[in-house]
Amino acid sequence: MRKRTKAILLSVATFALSCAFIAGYDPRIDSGATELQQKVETFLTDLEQTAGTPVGEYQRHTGFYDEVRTDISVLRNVASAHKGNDITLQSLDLIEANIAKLEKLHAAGISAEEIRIVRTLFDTQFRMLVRFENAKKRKES
Amino acid sequence: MNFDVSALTTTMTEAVRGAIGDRWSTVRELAEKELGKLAQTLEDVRDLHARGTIDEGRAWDIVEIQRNTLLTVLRGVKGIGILTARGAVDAAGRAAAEVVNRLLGFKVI
Repeated sequence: MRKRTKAILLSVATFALSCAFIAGYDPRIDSGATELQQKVETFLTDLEQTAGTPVGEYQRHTGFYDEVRTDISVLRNVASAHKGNDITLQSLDLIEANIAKLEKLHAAGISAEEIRIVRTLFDTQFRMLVRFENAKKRKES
Repeated sequence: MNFDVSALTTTMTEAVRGAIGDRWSTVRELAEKELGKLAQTLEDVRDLHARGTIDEGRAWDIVEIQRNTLLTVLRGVKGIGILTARGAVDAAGRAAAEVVNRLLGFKVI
C-alpha cells in the first residue's frame, strides 16, 4: 500500500510539474506584442521611404525609441507577474537589445537597404514572440 | 564569394535540431522556415559589405541584430516545442489520472 501511495504521489507531482513549466496565456502580452510589432513595422516602412532625407534623420525620431522602450517595459512588467514566463521575458529583452542596435545604426545614418534587412529581422522576432504567446492560448483551449 | 544560403540554413538547422532534441519533430517546419529567412538576411549583409555599401563595423552591427533574432527564434521554437510536448504529457497525465482514480474509487487527481 505504501508503494502504491508513493506511486500516486509521484504521478500527482509529475502531472503538476508538467502543468507549471510555462506560464499561461495572457491576452495583454499577446495584444501588446502585436501592437508593438505594428508600431515598429510602420516606423521602419516610413523610415525606408525617408532614409537619407531630413525627414528620416535620427533627431526627428528619438521619441519613437523612447516610446518603444516604454512599451517593452510595460510588457515586461505584465510578463514578470507570472511565473514561468522566462522565454517571453528573454524574447522581450532581445527585442529591446535590437531596438538599441537599430537606434545606434539610425543615429549614425541608415540606408534603405539596411532598413530592409533590419525590418525582416524585427518581423521574425515579433512573429516568433506572438506565435509563442498564441501557442499558450491554443494549449489552454 | 557568395554564401550558400541553402547550406547555411542546413548547418543552422542541424545545430538547432541538436539543441531541441526529442521535440524537434514538433517544431521542424517552423524552425526550418525561420532559419532559412535568417540565412538569407546574412547573405544580404554579406552582399552589402561586398559591394562596399557598408563597412565591417556596420556589417557587424547588423549581424548582432541577426544574432539576437536567432536567439529569439531559438527561444520561441523551444517554448512552442515544450508546449506541444506538454500537450502530449497532459493527455498522458489525464489518462493516468483516470486509471488512478478508478483504482482508488474516488477522484484524487
